Amino acid sequence: MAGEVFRRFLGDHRRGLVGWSVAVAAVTAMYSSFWPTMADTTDLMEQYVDAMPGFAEAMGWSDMTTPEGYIDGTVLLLVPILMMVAAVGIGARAVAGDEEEGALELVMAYPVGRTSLLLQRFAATAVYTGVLGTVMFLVLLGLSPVLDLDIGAGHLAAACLATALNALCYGTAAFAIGAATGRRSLAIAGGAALAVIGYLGNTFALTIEDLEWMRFGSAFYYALDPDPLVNGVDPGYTAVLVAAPAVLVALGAAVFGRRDVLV
Amino acid sequence: MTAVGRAGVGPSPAIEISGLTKSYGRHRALGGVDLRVREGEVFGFLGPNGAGKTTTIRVLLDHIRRDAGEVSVLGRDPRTDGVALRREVGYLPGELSMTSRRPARDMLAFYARLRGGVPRAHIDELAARLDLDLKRPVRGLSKGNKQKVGLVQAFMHRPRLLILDEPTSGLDPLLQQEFLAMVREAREAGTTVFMSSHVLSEVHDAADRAAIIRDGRIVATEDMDALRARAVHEFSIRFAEPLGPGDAAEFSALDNVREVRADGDQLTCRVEGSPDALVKLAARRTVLLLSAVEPDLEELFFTHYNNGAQDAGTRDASGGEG
Repeated sequence: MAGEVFRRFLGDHRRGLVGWSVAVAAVTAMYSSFWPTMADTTDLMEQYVDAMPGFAEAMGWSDMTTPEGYIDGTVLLLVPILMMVAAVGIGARAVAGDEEEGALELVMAYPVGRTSLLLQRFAATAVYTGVLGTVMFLVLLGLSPVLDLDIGAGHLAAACLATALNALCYGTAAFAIGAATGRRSLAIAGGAALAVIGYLGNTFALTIEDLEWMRFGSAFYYALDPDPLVNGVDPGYTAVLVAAPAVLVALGAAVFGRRDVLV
Repeated sequence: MTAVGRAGVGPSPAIEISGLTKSYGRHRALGGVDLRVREGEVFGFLGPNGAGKTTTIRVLLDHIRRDAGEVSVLGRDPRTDGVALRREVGYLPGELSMTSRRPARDMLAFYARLRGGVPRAHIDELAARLDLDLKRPVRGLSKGNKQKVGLVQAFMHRPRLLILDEPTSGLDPLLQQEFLAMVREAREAGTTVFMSSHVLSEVHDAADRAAIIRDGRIVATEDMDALRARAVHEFSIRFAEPLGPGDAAEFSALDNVREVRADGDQLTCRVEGSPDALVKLAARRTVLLLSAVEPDLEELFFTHYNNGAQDAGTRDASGGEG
C-alpha cells in the first residue's frame, strides 16, 4: 500500500513527462550544438557584448568565448525556464488540479491520510522534475565530446542539479499554494509570479542597484550565480534550494490537513 | 460517548449524527442535522438537490470538517480516526471524475491496493453482474459505465458500511434492479447501507428506513413500511359505460378514498394505502383501464406532516426555498 498514490500519480502523468523530456532534450541539444560555430566567431560576439554591456550582463553573456560561458548564456538561460514551467504545471495539478476536477474525491475516501497523500504527491512532483534534470544532463553528457565542450561530467551534473532544484522550488510553490487553497489557477499564478520575480531578480534587476536585493528571493540566483559549470556544486546555495521546497511543502501540508476538501 | 446507543434497543448505530452544522462563508449548508442509522439496515437519505445530502456525506468521510455537532461513524469520529474508519467504508461519490487513459481493471487494481488488497474474484464477479467491460479505458466510458466502475470499487472489499451518493443515476432500469439486488445481498451479509437520492423510487424498494433533509435539516425520519402503507396513489379508472349520478358517492363512501371525480366514463380519485376496496367496488362494473400514479416524495412526507401541523415550524426555521 505504501507509495501507491505516488506511483499512480507519476504513472498517470507519464505522457506529459515524456513530452517535457523531449522539449528539454531538444532545447538543450539545439543550443549547445551551436557551440562549434560560436567558437569560430568569438570576435564578433565580443564586439556585440562590448556594444551592449548592460544587456549582455543581464542575459549572462559576459563570457561567450568559453564553452562554460556559452552554455551558461544559452542552455542555462532557456532550459531553467522550460523546466520551471513544467514543474509549476505538475505542482499545480498534484493537489489543486485534481481537487477541482473531483479526482481527489475517491482517493480521499480510502484509508489514506491527508499528510501521506500530500507527501506522496510531492515526491512524485520532485521525481518528475528530477527526470527532466536527468534528461538535460544525459543530453549534455552525450554531446560534450561531439561538440568539444570539454566540461567535466561532475560540473555538467552540478548545473543540471541546480536547474532541476530551481524548477522544483517554483513547482513546490505552486504545489503548496494549491494544497492550501484548492484552486489550480491560484497555484499556477502564484508559482509563475514568483518565477517571474525570481527570474527578473537574477537578470535585469542586477543592472539596477536599488533592485539588487531582489536576487535573494530568487531561486535562479541560488541555482546559477555560483556558476556550477565552472565551480561544481555549491553546498550552501544548494542547501537553500533544498530547504525552500521542504518549508513550502510543510506549510502546504499544515493548511491542507485542516481545511475542507472538494467544496 | 456518542457511539453508545441511548435507546438501548438493537445494536449500536452505524452512523450517529447530532447537532451537525456547517457553513461555507455566509451560506449555511447544514443547520443542525440529527440522524441515526442502525447497524445492518438500509437507510435512504432523501432530499432535493442542494438540501445538504452531499455535505453531510462528506463530513462522514472527513472531506469536510464540521463547525459543530457530534459525528460517529462505526463508533469512530471521522475527524480524528478517518483512516481507520475509511478502511471499513465503501463510498460511491455523487459525481465521479475519471480521467485516466488506463483500463478500468488497472484503476480498480490501484484502488484495491490502496485497501491493502482485494481478491480479484470479487472485482470480476461484480463487473460481470453489472456487465462492465474492464478492458476499456475509463476516460472513454459513458456515464452509466463510469457509475458501474464506481459501484464495483465501493462494493469490492465487502465493507461494513456502504455510503452511496445517488447510486442509481446513469444506470438503466435493468441495472438499477441488479444494483438493488446487490444492496439486498449486502444487507443480508450484515452491511449497513446509507444511500442518498433526490427521488423516492430509488430507495423505495431497498430501504428499511428513510430520512428527508431539506435546507440543511432533517425534517422527517420514517419507517419505509409505514410510509408505503400511507402512500397516497392517484387512481384513474375508465369504465365501459358512463357513470351514473349516484356512482361517485358510492366511491366516496369508501374509507380510504378521497377527492373522487366522475366525468363521463372516467373516474379519478386518491387512495391512501391499499386500493383493495376501490378495486373490488370498481370490479362490479366493466373496467376498460386502470392506472395509478406513484406518489412523489414531497407529497408522501408532507401530507403527513401538514396534517400534524409539524411542518410549519420546520419551514420557518429553514428559511427560503432553495
